[in-house]
Amino acid sequence: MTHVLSIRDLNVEFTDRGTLTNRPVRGIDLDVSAGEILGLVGETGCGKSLTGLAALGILPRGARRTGQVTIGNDPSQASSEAGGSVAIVFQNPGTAFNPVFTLGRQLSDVLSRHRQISRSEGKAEIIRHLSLVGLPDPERVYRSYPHQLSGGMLQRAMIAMALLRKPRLLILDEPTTALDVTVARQILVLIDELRHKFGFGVLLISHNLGIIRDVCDRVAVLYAGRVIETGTVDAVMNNPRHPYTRGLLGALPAGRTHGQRLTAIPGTVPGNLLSLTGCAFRNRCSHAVTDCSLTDPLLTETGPHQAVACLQEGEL
Amino acid sequence: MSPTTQIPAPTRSGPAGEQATLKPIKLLKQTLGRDRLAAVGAMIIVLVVILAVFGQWLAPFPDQGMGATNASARNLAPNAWNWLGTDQLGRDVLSRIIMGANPALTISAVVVAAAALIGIPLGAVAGYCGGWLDEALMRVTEIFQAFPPLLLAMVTVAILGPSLTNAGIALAISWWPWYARLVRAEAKSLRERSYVEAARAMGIPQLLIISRHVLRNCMTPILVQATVDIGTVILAAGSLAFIGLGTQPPLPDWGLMVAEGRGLIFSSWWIATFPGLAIFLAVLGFNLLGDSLRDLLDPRQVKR
Amino acid sequence: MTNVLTLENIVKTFPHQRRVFTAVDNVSLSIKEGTVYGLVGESGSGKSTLARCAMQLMRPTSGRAVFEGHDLGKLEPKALRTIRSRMGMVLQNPVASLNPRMTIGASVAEPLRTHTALKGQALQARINNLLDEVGLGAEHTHRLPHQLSGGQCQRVGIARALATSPRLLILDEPTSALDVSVQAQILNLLQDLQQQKGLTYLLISHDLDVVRYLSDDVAVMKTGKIVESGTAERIFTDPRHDYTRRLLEAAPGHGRPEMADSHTLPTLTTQGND
Ligand SMILES: Nc1ncnc2c1ncn2[C@@H]1O[C@H](COP(=O)(O)OP(=O)(O)O)[C@@H](O)[C@H]1O
Ligand SMILES: Nc1ncnc2c1ncn2[C@@H]1O[C@H](COP(=O)(O)OP(=O)(O)O)[C@@H](O)[C@H]1O
Ligand code: SF4
Ligand SMILES: [Mg+2]
Ligand SMILES: [Mg+2]
Repeated sequence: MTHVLSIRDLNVEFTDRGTLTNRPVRGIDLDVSAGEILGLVGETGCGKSLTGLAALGILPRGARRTGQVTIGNDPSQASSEAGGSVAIVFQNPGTAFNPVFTLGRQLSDVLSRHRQISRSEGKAEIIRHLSLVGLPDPERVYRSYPHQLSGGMLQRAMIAMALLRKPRLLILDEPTTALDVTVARQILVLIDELRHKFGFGVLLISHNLGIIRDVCDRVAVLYAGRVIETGTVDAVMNNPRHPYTRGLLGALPAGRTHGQRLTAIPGTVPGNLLSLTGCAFRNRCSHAVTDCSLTDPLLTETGPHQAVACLQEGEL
Repeated sequence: MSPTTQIPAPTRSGPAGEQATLKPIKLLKQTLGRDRLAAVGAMIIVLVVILAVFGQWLAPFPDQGMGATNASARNLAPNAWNWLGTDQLGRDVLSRIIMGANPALTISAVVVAAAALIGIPLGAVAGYCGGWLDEALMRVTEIFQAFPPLLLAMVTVAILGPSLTNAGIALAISWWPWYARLVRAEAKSLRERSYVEAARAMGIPQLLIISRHVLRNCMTPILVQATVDIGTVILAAGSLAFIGLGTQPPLPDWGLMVAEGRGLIFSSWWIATFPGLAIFLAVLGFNLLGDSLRDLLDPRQVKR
Repeated sequence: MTNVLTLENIVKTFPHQRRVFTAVDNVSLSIKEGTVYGLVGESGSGKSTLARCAMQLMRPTSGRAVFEGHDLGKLEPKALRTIRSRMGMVLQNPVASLNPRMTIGASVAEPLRTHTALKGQALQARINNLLDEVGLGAEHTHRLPHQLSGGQCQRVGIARALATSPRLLILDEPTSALDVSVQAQILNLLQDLQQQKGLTYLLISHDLDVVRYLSDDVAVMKTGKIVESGTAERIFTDPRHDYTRRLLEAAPGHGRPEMADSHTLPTLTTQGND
C-alpha cells in the first residue's frame, strides 16, 4: 500500500536565542497509508499536536524540526509546500473561523487559493462539499456567519473546507473534544465514511483511547515525544504491552460502576525532556527497574502487528 | 487567513491568562526590558521624580526658584551662569523649572489618587452589583463626562477661588468618573469569572468578594491608566495655571512660567520655551510608559 | 434515608431576543443522604443553570430548593451564606475557578476564615490537612494556580469545597476539562472522599461513563427537562427513553460506528454554539 505520510526520526526543538530549551518530540517514526486512519494518542503535553504541525510544516515560533517528512511520494524537507495535499482540522470549531465573514466567503478563499475556478463554479463546488459532509440546507450554511451555527455544524464545515483542498492526508487534532458525545460520534462516523469514499489517509490525534478504539485502524501511543507502543488497534487494545498504554486503558471509566477503582497513572507528563536519560516513563511506572533509568528503551516488535518500547516488556 | 493553516493557541494559560497573574513590579521590569520607548519614558519619569524630591538642593538659585527677584539680571539669554537664561524679573529659568517639578508632580499624584479613591470603589460596587445602583452611577458619571475636564475645572476654580489646591480639587472632581467607568467595566466582566462564582457558592460576604476577587484582579489596568493620567494631569494643571486659575505667582509652576513668558516669546524665547518643554517631556514620559504597559497587557494590541 | 436536597418544580427562564427562553423547565428531584445523584445531558441542556438554582446563586423563576429542611429561597442573605458552608461546589474549569492572584493556601483558607474561627497555626494545620486529603503536599500552599496542572487545580477546588465540612457537594463537570488519565485520578479521589465521609453528591456531567462510574441515581436532561430518571443500574442497562439510548450508543469506546447511523443528519439549529 502507498504511504501518504511517512515520518522518519522527527524531532521538534525549541530554541531561544540560539540555545536549545526543549525537545518535546524526540525521534518519531510514523506511516499513514492511503485510506487508513492512524490514531495518535497520549496525555496532554506528550507532543501530539507538535507532531501533527511538524508533519504540515507549520510549527509555532521558535520551534524547529529535523528529520524527514514525506507526503505522497515527494519528500518535502521544508515548510508548508505540501500545500494542497495535506489539510488539518483543529479542536475548537468555534474559534477556527473568522467571525466577521460568512462561511461561503471563507471557503471560497481556500478554494481559490488551490484551484483556478470561476465564481459560480466555485460556489457550486463549495455547496457540493457542504452537503458531502452531511450539512442539511448547504445553501443556508453558505450564507451563514459562524455564530449562527452550532459547534457540530462548524466542525463539519471545517472538514468540508479541508476536503476542498483534495487532501491525500487529513490531520485531525482532537476534532471532537469540544463537542457533545452524539455530535462527536456523527463527526467520527463522517470521517470514517469520507476516507473510504476518497481514499485519503487520516492522522487522528486524541487523548481518549475510547475514540481511537472506535475509529482507527492502527494506533501510535505517544509519551514524552516518543512512540512507546504502536500496532493495529486490535492488537494494542486487546493486548497492551506497555505500562503506559495499560494505564491509559485502565483510566477509562467506560463500563465500570462504582466500587471498581480506576487505575489512574500517578504523576504527570514531564515538561522538559532535555536532561532525560533512560525511560521517560520510569517515574510513573510501577514496573520500573534500575536499568530503566540507564537504558533508553527502543521500539521493538513483539508481534506481527505490534511494537513496544519497554525494557520489561517480556516480564509483564 | 485560512483556518486550515492557523497555529492553534496553546490550550493551557493563553497570553491573557498569563498576564493576569503578573505582579505590577514584574510587569514593569518586563516592559522596560523589551521596549526602548518605555525605557525612555521611565528615565524621564525618574528624572522628574528626582527633581521633585531634591529640587531645592539641585537648583543653582533655590531662592529665585521660589520667587526671589534679581533686578540686575532681567531677560538674560542662556549663558554660562544662567544655563537657561533668566525671566523678566531676573529669576533663573533653570532653577524655576527644577523647583516647579515638585508642585507639578504633587498635584498630579494627589489628583490621580483622589480620583482613584473615589472612582474605584464606586465603579467596583456598580459593576459587581449591577441593577439600579449601576444605572444611577453611570448616569452621574455621564453628566460629569459630558463636560470637558478643563471646563469643569475652570467652573470649580471660579467658585472656590484660584490656587493650586483648588485646581487639584477641581481636577479630581472631573477625573474620578473615568476611574469609575474603567473599574465598572472590569468588575462587570470579572463578576462572570468562575472563581467569583466559586466564592459566592462558598458564602463569602459580598464586600470581601469585591475587594479580594474583583478589585485585586483589575489593579493592572488601573495602574496603566494612572500612569498615563499623571502626565495628563500635569498638563491640565499647567493649563489651569496658564490661564491664571492654578498656582499663583510668584510660586514656580511650568504652566504659569509659560504664561509669564508668553508676551516675550519673540524677544526672550527661552522664558516660555523651556518650561513648555518641561511639560512636554513630563507628559511624554508618563504616556510612553503607560502605553507600553497597556500594549503588554492587551494581547490584541501587541506590536510584532 | 432522609433527603439532603430536594428540588421542586424548578423553572428558570432568561430573556432572549424579546422572548423568554426556558433553560430549566419544571425539574424536580431529590437526593438521598450519602448517595450520588448523577445528572447527565448535552451542553446547553440546563444542567449548570439547575445547579445554580439549587445553590441559589441564581433565583429560580419558580419552584423551591429545599436543603436540610430549609427553603433556600426564603432565607435572609446572611442565613443563606451560612447555609452555603454546608454545601460545596466544584466547577468545570479548574484553573479558572481559582483566583489567579491568590496562592493555593489563601484560596483554601478563604471559606475557613469566613465560616470558622480558625487562625494562625490551627488554620495552617487545617489547610495542610485538607490539601493532604486531596493528595497535594503542603509545599503547594504558596504556589499560584498557574504553577499547577489542571488536575492539581481541581484537587485544590475540591479541598476548598470540603473546607467547611459540607454534607453536599455539587460537582459541575468536575473532570470535563481534564485528560482521561487525570480524570481517573480525580474520579478515584471523589469516590474515596464520598465513601470515607459519607458525602452526598450532585454530579453533573455530559459524560455518561463518568456518571455511571460514580452515581447511584441518574437523571437524563434534555432541553431543560428531565426525560428519564432512575437508578444508575436501570438507566444504563435498560434505557427507556429514546434520547438516553442515543446518548449511550454515542459514548466513545463503545464499539465501531455503524455505517447505518451515519445518515442521521443533524437538525439545523439557528441558535448559537452549544
Ligand atoms: N512554545 C513552546 N516552547 C517550549 N515548549 C513548548 C512550546 N509549545 C509546546 N511546548 C512543549 O511541547 C510539549 C508538547 O506540546 P503539544 O504537542 O501541544 O502536546 P499535546 O498536543 O500532546 O497536548 C509540551 O509539553 C510543551 O512542554
Ligand atoms: N445567565 C444567562 N443568561 C441567559 N441565558 C443563559 C444564562 N445562563 C445559561 N443560559 C442559557 O441556558 C441554557 C442552559 O445553559 P447551561 O445550564 O449552562 O447548560 P449546561 O450546563 O447543561 O451545558 C443555554 O442555552 C444557555 O445559553
Ligand atoms: S522501560 Fe522500565 S520504566 Fe519504562 S515503561 Fe518499561 S518498565 Fe516502565
Ligand atoms: Mg494538543
Ligand atoms: Mg454546564
